[in-house]
Amino acid sequence: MTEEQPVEEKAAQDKGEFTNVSVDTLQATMEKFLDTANVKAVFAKPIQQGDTTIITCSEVMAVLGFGVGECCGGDATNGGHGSGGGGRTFARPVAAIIASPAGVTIQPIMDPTKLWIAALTTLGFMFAMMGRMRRGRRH
Amino acid sequence: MPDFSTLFVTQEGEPLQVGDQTITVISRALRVLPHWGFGGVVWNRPVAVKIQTASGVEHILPVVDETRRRQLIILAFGLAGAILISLFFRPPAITAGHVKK
Repeated sequence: MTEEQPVEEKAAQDKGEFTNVSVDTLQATMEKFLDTANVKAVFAKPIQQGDTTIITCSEVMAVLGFGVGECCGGDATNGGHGSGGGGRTFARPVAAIIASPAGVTIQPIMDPTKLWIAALTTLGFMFAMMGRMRRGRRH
Repeated sequence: MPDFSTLFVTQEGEPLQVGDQTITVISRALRVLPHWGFGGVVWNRPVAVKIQTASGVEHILPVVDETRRRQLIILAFGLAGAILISLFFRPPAITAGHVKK
């Protein structure tokens, strides 16, 4: 989540108003980050198709970190200040809720790539362990 | 800034009318936000769907994360396999007069 510094922010920094602008930016970023904890982040808008309504749901994970600092007074003549941050959001579909007059069903959405990665990693770990223990027996 | 001291937050979506039944989606979020406020982690996932029929009967359908469930099964097999390997391929014990180099 690396963003270029906006023009307004740069101008404000030149005027010595950097701190206020960065606090506003951080607050806005933090608010957007906290929106990921909302129920609307997990469940999509319902899709209507005739009598049937479909709602897809996903797992959402967001990580964010930032910091600000200043040194030696914090003004433009004898000091300096800076801020930085980073974050990432992950989302993965989990299931689809299908609602019709006949009833409601939940269809799971599977990710075969993740399963193959897990299976191959586990097998690799087991074979490596077996090889090491066999070598240990021979010595 | 609002108080986010609660670790797990369960939320319900707006009720949705489909035919004669009302559907309400439920999610649960894990929010780890350090008290000094410079960031944090949010893990939000679907939990269940609450269905209310016209007659007033209410039942809850859980949303199962099948990928996660199978990943955990594979992990459990891996751990069981590791234990079996360590039992069957264990190096022989060092006996007296048999010095290991």
